[in-house]
Amino acid sequence: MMGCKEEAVFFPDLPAHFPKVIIPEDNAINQARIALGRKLFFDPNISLDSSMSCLSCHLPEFALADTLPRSLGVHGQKGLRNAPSLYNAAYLDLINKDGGVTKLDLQALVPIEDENEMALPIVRLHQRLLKDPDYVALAREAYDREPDAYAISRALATFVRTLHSADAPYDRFLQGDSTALSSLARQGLQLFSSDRLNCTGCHSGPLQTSNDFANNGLYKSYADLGRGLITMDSSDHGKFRIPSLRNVALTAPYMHDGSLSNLAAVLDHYENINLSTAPLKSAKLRSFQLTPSERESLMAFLHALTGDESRSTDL
Amino acid sequence: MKFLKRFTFIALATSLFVAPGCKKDGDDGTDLAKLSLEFAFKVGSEDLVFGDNYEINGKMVNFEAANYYIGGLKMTQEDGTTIDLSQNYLLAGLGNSANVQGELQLSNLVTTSFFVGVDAATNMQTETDFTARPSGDPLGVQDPAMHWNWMTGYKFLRIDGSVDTDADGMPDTPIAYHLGSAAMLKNLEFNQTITIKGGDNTLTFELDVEKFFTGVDLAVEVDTHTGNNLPLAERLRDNLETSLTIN
Repeated sequence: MMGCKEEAVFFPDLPAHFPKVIIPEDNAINQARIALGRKLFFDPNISLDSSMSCLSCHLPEFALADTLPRSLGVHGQKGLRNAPSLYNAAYLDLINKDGGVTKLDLQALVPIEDENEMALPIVRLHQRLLKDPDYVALAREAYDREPDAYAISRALATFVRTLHSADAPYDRFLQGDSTALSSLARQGLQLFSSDRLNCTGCHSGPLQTSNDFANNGLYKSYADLGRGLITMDSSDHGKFRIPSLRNVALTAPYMHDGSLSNLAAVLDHYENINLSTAPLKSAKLRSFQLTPSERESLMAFLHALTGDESRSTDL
Repeated sequence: MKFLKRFTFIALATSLFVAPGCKKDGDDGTDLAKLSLEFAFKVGSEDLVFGDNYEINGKMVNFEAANYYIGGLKMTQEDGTTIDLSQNYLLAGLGNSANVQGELQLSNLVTTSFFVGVDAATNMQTETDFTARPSGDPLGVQDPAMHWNWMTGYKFLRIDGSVDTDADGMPDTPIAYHLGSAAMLKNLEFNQTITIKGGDNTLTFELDVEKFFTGVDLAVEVDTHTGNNLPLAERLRDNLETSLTIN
C-alpha cells in the first residue's frame, strides 16, 4: 500500500470517501515513471504502423473511453470489445472485461500486441524504442534498464494509476454538500439505491462498481464468452466485469460489445430484463417498470456521476 | 532409485565436459560424457521447414511458428541414478537446443518423464512475470511470443501457419493453435532405453506435426486459443501422447 506522503504528492485531489490507491511494491510511483508512461501513452509509435496511440481509443473528451462500439485497430479491424474508460483503473485487481490480466502492470501489453489493436509485439517495440535516445534515457532513469517489456508495461501502468475521476457532483454530495445534487438527481439516487431496482447490487460504493463479474442477460447465447474464456467454466459464459458508472453519461455506447448506443437503451434493457432468456443471467437483476418521471430522475443521477474534469485533455 | 543428483541446463550450444561418476572397465579411454537436448519437428517423415507446404489431413498447409515448453524433466538411468532437471524449463523450437551440465553416469537412460506446459504457480506469474525475467530465460519475453497478452500466463504450445481453404493450392488462411492454462498441461513418460556412452550423447524431443493434428480439419478448425475453443484444445493436448516422442 502507498504511504500518506506519496498519496498527498501523487493523488492530492482524492476525496476521503475514495479508497486508497494500491501501488505494487515492485513498481513504486515516482515522477520519472509517470513521465515515461505519459510519453508512451501519447506516442503513436507504440503501434505497428505508428498510426495509433492510447489516445486513439481512450478519448479525453469522453472520459478516456471510445465512442465506437468496438475500436478500430491498425489494420482497420474491430477490436474484440468496447474500450472502457481508463479513469480509476488503479483500483482494478483483475483487468479487462473478462478479468484475464491479473495486474495492471501487464495490462498495456493487451492493446499493444493485439492483432486487432496496435498489433506490435512487445519485443519489436523494445527494439524500436532503443533507437530513440529520449526513451533510452527515460527508461534508465525510471527503471534502470532499457525501454523493454518490463519498463514499457510498468511505466504505462504507473501513468494510468494517476488518472482519477473523483470530482463529480455526486462526490461533493457525499462530502456533505447537499446542494451538489439537484432534487431530481437526489430522487434518482434513492431509486438507484432501492431494493426495487437493486442497481447497487452491482454498481456500488464510490467507484460505482463491485468489480465483480456478472451476466446481465444481454444475450441468450454469447459469441464472446467473457469471463468464461479465462476460467473455462461454462457457468461463467457471458459474465463480464461490472463497469464503473462514473462518467457513464460520457462513455456511450454501452455493454461489453458497445451494442447499446445510449443510456435510454440501457434502461430499456434492464426494464425488460424479465423478457431476457439468458440462462445464466445474474440473480441480482430485478424486474421493474419505471414511470417517465422515475426514468428522468434516474438519468439525472447518472449524469451527476460525471466528473468536472472528465472531458479534460490535460492529462 | 540409487540416488538423486541435481543438474541444470545451459540452454545454448556450449560444449561442457563433465566427469563421470564411475568408469567402466574395458573403456577405450573415452571417460567423459555429455548430454545435449535437441528438438526436432517433423511432418510425417519430412523435417518441418517454415514456409514449405505440406499436406495434412488432405489440406495444404504451411507453418511459421512451432514452440512448446518442457518442464519437470527427469531422466532415470539403468544404475538407478535420476537426473533431475525438474526446476528448469526448456523452450522447444526450431534451432533451439540445450546442454545438461552436471555429473553424468555412463549408464543408459531407461525412463524419461516431463510435461508440456508450465506449472500452475509459475504460470500465474503472481511473483515474477515474464517481463521481469532476464534475457535468455526461456520463460522470459520471446519472439514469437509465448505469453498471452489478453490473459496472464504462458502459451504452453504454439503452432501458427496458413491453410488452403479454397483448394487453389495456396495456403492463405491463418491458422493458430495456442494451448495454455492448467488444464492444458500434459504429462508424458517414456520407458525406453536411450544409450549413454562416453563422449557426445543426444536426447531428441521430436514433435510430428502431422500426428499432432490427427483428427483435425485444418481448413475448418483454424484456431484455438484454448478458452475460445476448449474441445479442440483438449484434442490437441491429447494428441501429444502420440505425436511427441524421444530418441
